[in-house]
Amino acid sequence: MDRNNENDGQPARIQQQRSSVPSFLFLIFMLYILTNHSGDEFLARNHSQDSLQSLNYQLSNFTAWLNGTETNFTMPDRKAATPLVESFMSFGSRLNPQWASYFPNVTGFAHGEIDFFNITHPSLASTSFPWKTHADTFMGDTIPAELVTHLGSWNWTGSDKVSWSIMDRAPVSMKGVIEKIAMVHGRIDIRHPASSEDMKLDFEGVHFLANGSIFGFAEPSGQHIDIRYIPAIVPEAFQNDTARAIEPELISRVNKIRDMIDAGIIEQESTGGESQGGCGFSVYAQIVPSEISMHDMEDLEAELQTPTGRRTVNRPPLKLNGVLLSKECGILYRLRDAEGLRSQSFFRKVATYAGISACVYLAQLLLLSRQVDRSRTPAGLSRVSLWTFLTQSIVDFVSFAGHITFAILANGRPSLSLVAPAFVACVLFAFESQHAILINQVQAPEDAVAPSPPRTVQQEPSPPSQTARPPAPTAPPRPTGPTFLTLLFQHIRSDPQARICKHSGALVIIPDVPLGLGMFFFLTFIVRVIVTPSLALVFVASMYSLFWLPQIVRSVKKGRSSALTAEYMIGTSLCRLFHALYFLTCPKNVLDVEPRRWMWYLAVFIFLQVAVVLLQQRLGPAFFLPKRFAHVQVYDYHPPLPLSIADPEAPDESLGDCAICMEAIHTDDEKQLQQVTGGLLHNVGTRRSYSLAPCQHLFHTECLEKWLAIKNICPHCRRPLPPL
Amino acid sequence: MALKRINKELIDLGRDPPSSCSAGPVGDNMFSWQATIMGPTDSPYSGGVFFLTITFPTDYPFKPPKVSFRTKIYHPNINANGSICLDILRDQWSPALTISKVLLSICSMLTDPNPDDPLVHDIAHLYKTDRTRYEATAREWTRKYAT
Repeated sequence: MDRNNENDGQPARIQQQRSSVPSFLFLIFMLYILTNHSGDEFLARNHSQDSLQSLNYQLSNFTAWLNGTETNFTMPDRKAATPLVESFMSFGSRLNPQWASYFPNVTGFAHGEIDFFNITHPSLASTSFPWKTHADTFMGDTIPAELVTHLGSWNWTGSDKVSWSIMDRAPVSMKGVIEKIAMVHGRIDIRHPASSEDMKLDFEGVHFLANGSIFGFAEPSGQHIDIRYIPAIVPEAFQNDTARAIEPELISRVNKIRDMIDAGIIEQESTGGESQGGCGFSVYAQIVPSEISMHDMEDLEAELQTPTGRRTVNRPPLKLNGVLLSKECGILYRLRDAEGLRSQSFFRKVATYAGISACVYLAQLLLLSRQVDRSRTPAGLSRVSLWTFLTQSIVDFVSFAGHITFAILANGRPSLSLVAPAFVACVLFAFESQHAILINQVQAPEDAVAPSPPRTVQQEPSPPSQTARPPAPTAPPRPTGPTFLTLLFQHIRSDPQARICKHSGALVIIPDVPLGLGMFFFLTFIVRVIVTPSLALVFVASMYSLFWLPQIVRSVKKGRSSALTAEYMIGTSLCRLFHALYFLTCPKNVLDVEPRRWMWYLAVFIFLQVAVVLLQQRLGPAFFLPKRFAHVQVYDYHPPLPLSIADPEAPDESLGDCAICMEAIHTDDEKQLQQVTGGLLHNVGTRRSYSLAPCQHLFHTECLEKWLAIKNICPHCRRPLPPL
Repeated sequence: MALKRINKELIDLGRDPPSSCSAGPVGDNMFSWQATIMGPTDSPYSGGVFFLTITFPTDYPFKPPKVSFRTKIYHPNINANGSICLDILRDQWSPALTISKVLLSICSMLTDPNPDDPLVHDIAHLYKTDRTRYEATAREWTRKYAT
């Protein structure tokens, strides 16, 4: 027996380190896949040369035009647009600096809804808009057939939202320019509710600081915007100043491209021929005046750019009104009360989010450590569900990966702060997965095929066939079947190839194909979750609804309530819901995710689960099930003993010795009790001094309880035991 | 409980002593025992008498006793300090095991070393590659230290 024990039992493993070379190669492969871009330097260089030439040509024309010399550049006449635009919005005027002011800088993001208007002749014919005549004069003699070719495949009619990112440069300061004019550029994304992609337009324009108006052009991404024509759309009073302000901008662009070509830096412009449509827009926008004085506004701006912690007035909302007008397509979009968010405030928002998020994760870490501390024993571990911790660890892994991805992608100031929640989430992931592995180790014998009993059993006088009572239910299967991770885990544990084989002193590394493949799919899945918003939503919903359900199922199946504390469950649910609710119900979250109503139902569902788990601890694990389902699976350790079990040599006094304390097991009054009830009123769960394990081994209840707190296997035959 | 069980084991050992092993408390302290193992005849350790110390933990039999050789022995699973690499003394402990079973296990380990899970790698390597040299050294050590 002893030799058998020595060889059969798991030998104490010497920690063998897995090689890091394959995983390193694997990581490099993943990074390669993620960062793969088709750089065609030669084409890009040619492209740069071309744009330099055309810019130079434009510049010389423009300068000549400015100086009044003969040139083939003429400023188009776009005055017809002004009355049409003004019937949709009003341009700002100079304000009294004592009372009101415009935002001097609008660098940031603006979001708003847009209304679509068709301003072509045929569609207006039957309507009676007050601006109909203006539109007619504006459209002039455009041919409807041409409009259609411009429109392309994009659904312009149904587009209802626009997001506009704006970069405001420092105001141009040069001789001859009286107005404060700042060049602005950016991107306008027009969204359609049914389309996952946006219509992307590049934007270039000018911003008049004095009256808060912005004029510019927006062209589909990749198409060149000729900023020389901007003076054509600004009010007449500003035209000369605008033209003067544009000249240095053109010069600086020419110089920039020249420098880049000289230095050999090739800008990888994404000139992918997206032919969604070719509508170019003239953009007219007006900042809504804020009711704070000029002085306060300057103060506010200075504080935003270089925070000193000084007290400033409350930040007034930044709002934009505007019109996007396209003559070639006959489209007019009205932008009303678009809400602007300065990028500096956005960065601050991100930092605040990161701080709170890191604190929430820390709280979860604390709760987890307290819980782990409490359910450290095998008895405790066998009463918690593996899946509860596994799903949580996966969620935290995704959260870690997501935070770190955004931290890397947003290469600016917010990136640093996002590292904090990412780090804590990573630590949490490590702890949770470690705990899950521990639980798996303790619970693994449950679903393993009952091991062939070692020869110790031969000492027992009672082979199972002798017993009169029906065979004791063996450990019921776990609530959920083995899945990928458990299989993976078992594979790592059992597969000798997964370890480095030590052979005659030389290290032979056998690559582990299934393991690598599994990891690959898992990581790819995680990456997909992070980059695909719709998949991420499904992922959040399914994972969040899975937190406590496995625990409920396990408790019912095992007939034992959970070992999770109320503090841990409620605290963790609150912390986890913080993130989910923030992103899915808060309309102004940092990721700009649209609020989803179902998130509230999910929150309620989670707390319903928590309530059920807590009630299971109070009212019994199967309180919500009809009586006949309850107790079905529970193994009864204290059956009325049939005589065959009892030691035939000492039939009256003792049932044999307890293998743990080596004292005799007495039936005490049980015999009388049994006679009285006749075995008919067999009360399940009545506690007696003896306990009969499913493998027919008898122990003192007290002794077995102590041993089960250390390991839940039978001391005799090492078979897994159900909870006592 | 621990003391009671140790006492019981001592009585059982006296009543039904295993062949080639003996064990008993050193002084008044029932938690500290001394044991002897005669080298098994079919092993290079035959003829040797090996002394061991046994220390029972306070929560015996729920935790395994600490058993170590006090006599120097040349064996892949026993190191120079006398520590024994035996699974039932570590994670495979079961409260149904007794000192006499543990000693018998050690005896069988002397006959059949487990070189795949060694404590002294050099000896295990020698055991696997050059059995006669291993046996010669083991015999010499036994003669030197255990007789």
